[in-house]
Amino acid sequence: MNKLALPLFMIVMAALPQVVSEYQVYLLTLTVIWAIMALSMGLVLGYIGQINLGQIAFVAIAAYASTLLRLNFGLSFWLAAPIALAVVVGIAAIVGLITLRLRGPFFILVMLAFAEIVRLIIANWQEVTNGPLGLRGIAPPEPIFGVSFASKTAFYYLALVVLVVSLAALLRLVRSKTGRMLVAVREDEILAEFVGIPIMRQKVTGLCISAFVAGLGGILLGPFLTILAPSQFTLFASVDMIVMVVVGGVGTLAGPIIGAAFLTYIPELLSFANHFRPILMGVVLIVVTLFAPQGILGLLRGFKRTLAREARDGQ
Amino acid sequence: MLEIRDLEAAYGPIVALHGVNLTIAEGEAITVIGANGAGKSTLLKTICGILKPRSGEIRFEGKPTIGLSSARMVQSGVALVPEGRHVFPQLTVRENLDLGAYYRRDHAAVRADLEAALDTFPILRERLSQPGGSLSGGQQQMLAIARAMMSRPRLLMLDEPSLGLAPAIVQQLGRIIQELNRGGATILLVEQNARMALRLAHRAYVLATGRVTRTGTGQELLDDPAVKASYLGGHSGT
Repeated sequence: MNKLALPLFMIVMAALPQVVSEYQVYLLTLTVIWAIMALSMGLVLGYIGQINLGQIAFVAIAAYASTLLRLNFGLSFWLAAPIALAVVVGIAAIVGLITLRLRGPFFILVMLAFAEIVRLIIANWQEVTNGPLGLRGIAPPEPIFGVSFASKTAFYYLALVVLVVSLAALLRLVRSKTGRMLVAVREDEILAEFVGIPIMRQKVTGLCISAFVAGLGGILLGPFLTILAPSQFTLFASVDMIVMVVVGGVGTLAGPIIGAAFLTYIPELLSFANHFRPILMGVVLIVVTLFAPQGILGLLRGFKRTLAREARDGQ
Repeated sequence: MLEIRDLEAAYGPIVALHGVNLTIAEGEAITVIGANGAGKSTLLKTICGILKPRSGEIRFEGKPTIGLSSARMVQSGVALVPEGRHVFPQLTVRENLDLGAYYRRDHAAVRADLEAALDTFPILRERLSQPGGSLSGGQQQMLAIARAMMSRPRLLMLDEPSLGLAPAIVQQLGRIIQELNRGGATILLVEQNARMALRLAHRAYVLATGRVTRTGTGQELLDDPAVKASYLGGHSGT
């Protein structure tokens, strides 16, 4: 991503609610929250080099932990959120220490099982989570520093700030020493070990950061939807995140955001019924991997190169 | 500096080292020669903590090292240039070099070491911002050695650095390894290219099916008829 892209993206995203309808603001917020979650998946796919079918579990844990702290203990959103994030990172560290030793399909299967366990606990721990009926009537975040988040637009801006800050932090991360060590481990784990890089520590750190970002999406989900239910956190949600990353472009940070926008708006534009979504995701995944393995971002870059070449040849 | 006693290592049921004894004094250049499957790479992997031996003892600067991770070994001053796998292809030359010094906090000294490495390998200076994968085989090998030097190792181990390189490059590498040794680095060189290795080594070990079968100075082994027949391809040199 070049230097202008991020500020330009911020300006456009910040200006949009001023000119569109309330329903569009809802869709934009949905896009932004999906983008945060896709960003977390982008880190796993692109920088740890693993497919995590259990990523949604981190979202679910953060969503439920923060909301339960608010509903049961009367904590404000601003206190519940960091506690929930700490819980998610702690769980990611424990889970990562076990699962990141596993390679390829074993990691995928165990993480899938982990996510299912989390979902089943949520669905069956009636007295705490209210089971399949879920938690209802989740209030918007309490006002802080005199800013109220009661309106849809205000909440949108909150989500946007979270996205932009996460994006900026992750951009710094991937260019940092830690980021390069992650890439080194992803590229050649055996060589990385020869070079003396502590591989497990790198991978666990990567997964914890990714879980933190997923958790940021999670804490926004409750106040945004006002309802949390186990049915929101199935395997398909993890798959959606993967599709967003792949459609946008693996190994980039702009990719997941483009993918999230694409996959939130396409079903809307086509007015697809919700139950077609998994099928649609599958089709999109097949089409993209066959015809644009670098994602939309790869297509854009290719297009830019072609334009440059034609401009040069034209002279 | 390095003492190895009765080292036994195995991959599951397959024993690769049967009681290897080897010592390296500070400032020495030692070479281990042997055919494919003799246990040369296994020996290096065991020294640098990637493979846990079955039994035996390894001491580096007097301290036992068995059980330490490869990360700890690098930090305590042992660096390995692995065989075949050389560089991280998608990272730039600069990033590859930085990874060699990833744990160091003495940033000024790291910069000085980077300069020294780039003086030793001027070709890398020209390619600093190119991806490691775009370098030629010989350049990648130089990058791998330079990266190992970035951890400022007191013991530098090289696993078949000449593998797959043109003779002229091999000669150049031999000179560089010798220079590094004269500059104070202790070298453990594992080679199939026995002639180059024996010429630059103070002492050498011959490894065959996991055992040390001969040892002596580089020159002694170069003159040894048995070594000549097995490892130097008779009388004609390569």
